[in-house]
Amino acid sequence: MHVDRLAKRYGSHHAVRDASFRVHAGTITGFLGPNGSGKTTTLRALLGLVRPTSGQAHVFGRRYRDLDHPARRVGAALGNASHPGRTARDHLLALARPLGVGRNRVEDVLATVGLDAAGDRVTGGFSLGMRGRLALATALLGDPELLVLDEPNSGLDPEGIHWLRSFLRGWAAQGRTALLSSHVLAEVAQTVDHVVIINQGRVVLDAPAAELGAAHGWVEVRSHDAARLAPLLAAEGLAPRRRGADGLALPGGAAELVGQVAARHGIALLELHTHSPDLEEVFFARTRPPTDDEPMHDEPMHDEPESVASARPLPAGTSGRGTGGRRQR
Amino acid sequence: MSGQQAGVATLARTELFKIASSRRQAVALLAVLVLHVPPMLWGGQDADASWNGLRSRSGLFVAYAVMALGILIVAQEYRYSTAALAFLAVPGRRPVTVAQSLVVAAVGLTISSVLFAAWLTVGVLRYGAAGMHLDRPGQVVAAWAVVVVTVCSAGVLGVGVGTILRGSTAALLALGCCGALEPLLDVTRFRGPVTAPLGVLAWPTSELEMPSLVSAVCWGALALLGALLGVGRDVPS
Repeated sequence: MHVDRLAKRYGSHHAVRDASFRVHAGTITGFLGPNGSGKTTTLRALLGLVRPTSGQAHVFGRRYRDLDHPARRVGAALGNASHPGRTARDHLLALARPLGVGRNRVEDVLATVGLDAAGDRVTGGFSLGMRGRLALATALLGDPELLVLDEPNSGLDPEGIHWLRSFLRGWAAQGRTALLSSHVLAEVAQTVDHVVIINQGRVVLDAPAAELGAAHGWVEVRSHDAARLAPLLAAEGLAPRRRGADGLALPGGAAELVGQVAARHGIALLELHTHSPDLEEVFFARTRPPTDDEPMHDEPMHDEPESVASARPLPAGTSGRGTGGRRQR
Repeated sequence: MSGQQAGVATLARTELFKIASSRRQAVALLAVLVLHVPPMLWGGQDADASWNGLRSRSGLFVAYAVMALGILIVAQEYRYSTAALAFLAVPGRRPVTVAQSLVVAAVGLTISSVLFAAWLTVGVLRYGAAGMHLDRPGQVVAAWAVVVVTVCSAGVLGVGVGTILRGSTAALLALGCCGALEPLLDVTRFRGPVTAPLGVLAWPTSELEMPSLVSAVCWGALALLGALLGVGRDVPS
């Protein structure tokens, strides 16, 4: 799945601006952002339900509408769409006909999502959790290779959330792909391999989940010789920032190099540790609007306005990744 | 160019299944038939009145009922967001609109034909075959064809307006306003989208307001064209 410079404007409102990201085969990608950030619009553009103002969104190398039997290759759950006067089984049967799948598949997906006993109930009487499961059953109907799920956790009870997490893990284990938008960060953190964060219509982060800690964390150093250590680290290509009288902060992944430099110059370190933010911290750091009265905890050593994690490239083996112009602490 | 997708025949069967499985719609359609039974049993007239009322009795109520059905089956798809699911399976979208139009037309054809046959039978039983012009079968077939064409056009108009406005309230309000305004001018009276079926079916069977019939067909075709052009718009979340 490839979204390239996608933009969608409604009148003067830019719902999505120049968004680009990829979803790699065999991964579960979390698509995160606050309400109104452009997640749903992006997913809908990807699925051909919304016409982009510019840019393109491709699935399996083609526009969704150009795929042969697209709903058999891409399963989508976009909200809890069902006619309240129709039973769950009839809802799925009505969707199964255009896909060319039979009643057996309908029974299979009902059983997969745990709604087999409720198949003859009208969906108007379903709880939010049951509607969420029905939406997932809808997505699974065509036995697709790729799932696109918009807020699949919405309304699920803890058991349902646990079930969904297990399901998605099993899905990924089969080498299949999923893109799920969510604002339940804790759940996404336990489920996804890759994270894309969108804010105000712009993609502000696109990174493997496993690298978030290293790429978006930072190293904190405390030494009575911090003033002497800082230029030595700068000479190694790092961008240390002062934190108080004896503190320095550096991009994540620099701890080993800091230790080596300090040892080489006989500087005693009182403290050296890497702070690895969790997904929630990264999310809020990326999406929280800047405030004028936000306290400045550190003083830049250079003309570097970005946060510690967005410093200039680190030496080999200590890769860093920008965080988009926000101070993290 | 769009990839392979379900054909119109499959989509039409799907739409029929949706009507059948949405109990209220099925019951409402059945009610349209059942409501005709009492006047059939107890209505007493002479042969001429029975013949001249054949078109209106078998088509007038059905035309507006089918128009409302057309609006509802489309508008409910948008109301309950199932339109997006249909369009995911058929991204080209237009086949879905064509299938909906065909199904509503087929429903209209079936109901109006059943009622036409029923009223005709009642007339024959009461006034004899000659009283209901069975000795002039061309007139009977023509009367039936006028009813069916008008009813089907009204149904397609409903689908078209529902697709364009995407909401039953908006569509019913728009048609209600049309119905209120059309009688005010000679040029629109029994020629507009709402009153054209009235101009065809409310007249005695022995008379045919051809401009009304042409208007009814043209409005249906125009609404369908508008729907085919408009169905590709963004589907809101």
